[in-house]
Amino acid sequence: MNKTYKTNSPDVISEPMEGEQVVIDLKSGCYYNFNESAAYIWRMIEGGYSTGEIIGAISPNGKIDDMGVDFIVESFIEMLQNENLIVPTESTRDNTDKSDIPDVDMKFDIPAYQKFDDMQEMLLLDPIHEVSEAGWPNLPEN
Amino acid sequence: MDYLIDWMERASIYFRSLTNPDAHNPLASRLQFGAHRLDVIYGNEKLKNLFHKAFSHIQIPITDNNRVFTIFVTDNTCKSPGISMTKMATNHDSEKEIITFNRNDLHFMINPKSQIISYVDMENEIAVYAISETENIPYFEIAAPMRYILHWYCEKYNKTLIHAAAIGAGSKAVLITGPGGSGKSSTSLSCALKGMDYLGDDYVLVENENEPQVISVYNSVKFRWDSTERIPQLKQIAKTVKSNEEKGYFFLQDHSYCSVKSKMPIAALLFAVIDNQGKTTFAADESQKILLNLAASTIFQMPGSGRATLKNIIRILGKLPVYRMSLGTEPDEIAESIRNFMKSLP
Repeated sequence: MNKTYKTNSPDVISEPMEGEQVVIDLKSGCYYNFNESAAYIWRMIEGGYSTGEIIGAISPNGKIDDMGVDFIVESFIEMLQNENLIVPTESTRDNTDKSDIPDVDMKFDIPAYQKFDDMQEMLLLDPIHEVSEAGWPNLPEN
Repeated sequence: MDYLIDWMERASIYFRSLTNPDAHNPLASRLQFGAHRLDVIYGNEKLKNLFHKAFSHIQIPITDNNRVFTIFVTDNTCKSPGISMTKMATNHDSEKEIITFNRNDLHFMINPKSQIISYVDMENEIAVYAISETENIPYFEIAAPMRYILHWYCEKYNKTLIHAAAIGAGSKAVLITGPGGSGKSSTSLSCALKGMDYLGDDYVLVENENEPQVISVYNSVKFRWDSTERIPQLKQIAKTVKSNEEKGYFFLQDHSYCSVKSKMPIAALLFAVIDNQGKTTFAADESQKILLNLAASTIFQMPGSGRATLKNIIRILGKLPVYRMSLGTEPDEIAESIRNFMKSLP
């Protein structure tokens, strides 16, 4: 519950985009689009907040059992770890200070993401450029 | 890593010591990228013949001795004491990954496929593009040379080299993005041969002054050999192209009926897909997904680029309207459809 993570930089880069968050894993060649709720959790991780603090910020009235928020957040963080987008770290902030925890200024939904791996094949074929696929106007095999 | 740092130090000292640009030096050329200029000094005529054509449309006269950012293009026949290109390049066999080094203002890369070294020293405003073997340079290095160097140079001036084609009509341009093999090159070639303005088929610069602008870098265009069956004009051109590689290439600047533009405002971002519906169609699409694809494909192809590139692409292009362009099967129809579609853009 009180574990703290950090983003797996420099292999992983990210940037907010229209409320969502784009995340690129330079090592695997995969890239991700996080919805607003997932983006909020990602930014909390970037800010050095523990899992418990993230759950507390999201839970209505601070009750972590409401809506099963703890399970949802922990599952999402586990996914981030499995995808090597985050790694465990020691907390560097004062956990007793709750004043700087950002408000959830949206209706918190299930954190969701889209994962794209369509660059992987291209990267494996040639690290610089050019694919040896049939190309236009042939349809992709899939 | 020590030998690499030693090589970079020697290269910086040597090339920094070279004299200022000379308008009478036939091996020097000055290029204009939007409001910025840089010099390219080739070590010999063979190197200039290989690489200058891609930039010939943005060459301007050297009218002063002011030192600007300078790229030195060199090979093993060029005088460069203590800087062995061959030793550096052959330390890494072709099976290995790209070697990159980025520290503060220094950026270094060896491409194992082409055995080309790219080195950028932004503080001293010099770069080195060192060729170890001039006989076996891949076609895409001749069609689009010095990408890595230009990436770092342009980033300093808030321009971003992106992986997209760009075509213009009237007073505006569209960027065409899409996965490899989705038809970016074929589409931009078809449009250029039908009289539309051409800015690039693979890599272009984008910047945001008052509005997003696209700046041309290369006037080369690549084509698959079987495209000559579908594009009659290309059939004639292809006869003059010497290449045994998977794609051919030529330079539009050599063809006076083609219009190569150096800079245009961007009206929209088109995401090319193939679905063989016969006619080319356009549909408004989710900008995040397409912008993400463009950003990822740019970053993956530009070793060492990263968060700054991602941020710039989102900042410059994030407000553009985005359309999914389902390509038809006939090149002429595609070009005409894009021209008509562009008329409808604000």
